[in-house]
Amino acid sequence: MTARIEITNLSIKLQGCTMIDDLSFAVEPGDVFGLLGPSGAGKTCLMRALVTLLKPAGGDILVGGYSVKSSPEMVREITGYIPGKFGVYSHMSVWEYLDFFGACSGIAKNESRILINDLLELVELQPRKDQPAVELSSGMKQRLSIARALLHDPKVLVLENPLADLDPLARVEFRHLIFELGQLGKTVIYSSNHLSDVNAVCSRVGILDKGKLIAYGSIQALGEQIKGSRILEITVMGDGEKTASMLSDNPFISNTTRLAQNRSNTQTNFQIEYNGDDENLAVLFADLAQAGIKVLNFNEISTGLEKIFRRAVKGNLHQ
Amino acid sequence: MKHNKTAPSARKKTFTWLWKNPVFRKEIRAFMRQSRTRRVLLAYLSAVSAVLLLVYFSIISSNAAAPDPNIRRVLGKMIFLSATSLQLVAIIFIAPSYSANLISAEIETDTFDLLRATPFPAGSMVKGKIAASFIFMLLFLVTGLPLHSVAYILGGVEIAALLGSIAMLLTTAIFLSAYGVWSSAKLSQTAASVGTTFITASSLTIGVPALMFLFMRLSPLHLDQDFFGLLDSITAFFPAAFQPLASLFIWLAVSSTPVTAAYASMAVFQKANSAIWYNFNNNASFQFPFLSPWIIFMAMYGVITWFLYRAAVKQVAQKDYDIQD
Repeated sequence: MTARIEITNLSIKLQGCTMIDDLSFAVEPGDVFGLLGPSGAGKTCLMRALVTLLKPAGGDILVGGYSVKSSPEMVREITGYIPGKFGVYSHMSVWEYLDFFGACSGIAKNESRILINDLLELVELQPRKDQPAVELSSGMKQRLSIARALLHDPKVLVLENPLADLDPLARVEFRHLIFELGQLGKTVIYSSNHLSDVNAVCSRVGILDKGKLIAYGSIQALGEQIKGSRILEITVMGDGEKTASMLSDNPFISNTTRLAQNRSNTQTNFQIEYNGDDENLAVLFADLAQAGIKVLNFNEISTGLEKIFRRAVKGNLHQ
Repeated sequence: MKHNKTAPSARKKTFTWLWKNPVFRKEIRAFMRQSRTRRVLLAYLSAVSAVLLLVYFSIISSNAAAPDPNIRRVLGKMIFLSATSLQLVAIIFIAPSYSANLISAEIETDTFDLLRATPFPAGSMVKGKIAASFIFMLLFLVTGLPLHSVAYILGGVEIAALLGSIAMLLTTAIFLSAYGVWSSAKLSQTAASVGTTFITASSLTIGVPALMFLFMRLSPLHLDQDFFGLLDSITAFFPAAFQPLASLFIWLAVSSTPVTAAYASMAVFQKANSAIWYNFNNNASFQFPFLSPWIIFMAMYGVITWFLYRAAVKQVAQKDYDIQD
């Protein structure tokens, strides 16, 4: 019922360019794994390789024990795929669309009839089963796409931005559906540009950049990794230049950014990356006070997925 | 009561296999639901009817001036030739517009990846597409048959000529279906694929025969001879030792396009009274049997069609395109 995904030394080349470079990681059965990365990171390539649409130049991917290189047919049997772009045939109704893909997946006619009814109920498209699929709204098309991907009861689901175009309510419902699919033992690989979706749905994440995996693990574990350097926001009253110089000279501050200054130049906001402990921080504030600079506000930014992503892409997650 | 279960015939098995192919069913459904199909069919039948009426009345009016006792046979033959030529022209125009977008349209509407990510094999996908395109062209040929049949009522057409012409039209149709699907898979863009298929189809049926004619016109040959007279005149340019090889080469060249193969096959039928072979005898220096050009044409195009099918399957199975993160 469950399927593990194991990626070993994977490299993918397209027209001479290396899109994925020596990538290795595993996704455990029942995991909802979020794949993140900036544009051009190689997410689409990796997902296409997972569903056997791209042949690896090196290494391999084992999906449920089947190699995408030597047993692509078996991988397709156990994988459901929702690509980033939704494709629909202009002459087909919603029912015919699912029936066609059911037949392509080798589902028997009588079995497919029951299955399609159940899936249309699940994605709430039953009243529109005779409507041409091309006339559905983009949110409905996305729901139809999810029904199509679930048709052959795949053990692995590869979802590329599946919640795009859904209204907020449907978004919440589908987050729940994806979460439930994970609970049912399906392995889900999920890529999205919406970090909040990934944060809400995924148990583990991987961050890709320039074809390499730069961060991998549970959101909590990744958060722990960057806890050593806290991001603080400080509002001070006094000489902004002097404050900036004092902050930069502090051995526990690795990065200082001046965010804003009020019109009368009396208050200045700074964001700092602080590596020291609370005692050193108290010393810093005392030094500022001694120099005639008053700390008006002090705020620690929480370690969320967005921060993990930003730090990972900047290249200092493990520093 | 005892029931004897008999194994389904090969024809029934083939049809069941075809009908079980979801891609074939989808394409046939798409063809039949398009209003364009009805319009094209109506335009085709109207054009064939109009041309046949024109042929009929022009022959009847010229016969009024100089009566011919064999007028029915002449009429039958001319109507048969006109109807067959029109069907060939129809295939040339229909094949590119229908078969040459069968893969590229999937790519352009983003359904190609969905289809390839299913366990449905690339070979079955290509077979389904070629078969659907062929069945569609068959629809045009079959709907034209009542007009074609006027020729048989009037007479002047041998059954061998009829069967040969149907076989050649079907071979051309399946070849162009395979070519269109291959070109669609190779080029991935409908406009380029339709253009390429149309150029290939028209070159084979009109371009190459026209070039052959032009070549003969510019040469010192006398064009008022029949096919065998021309063949003898051309081979006479070669030294005696090479004449059999030259004859074979010309025979194969003539067999390589539907129009020239049909013309040569009719000549063979008239001279040897055989639709299958011709016993070549050139001044008694060499003597050997040649298969009639329409058979060589079918074998040649059958092999090319098979290679095109294999190439299309390879293209579909290995297609990587449009990657964006």
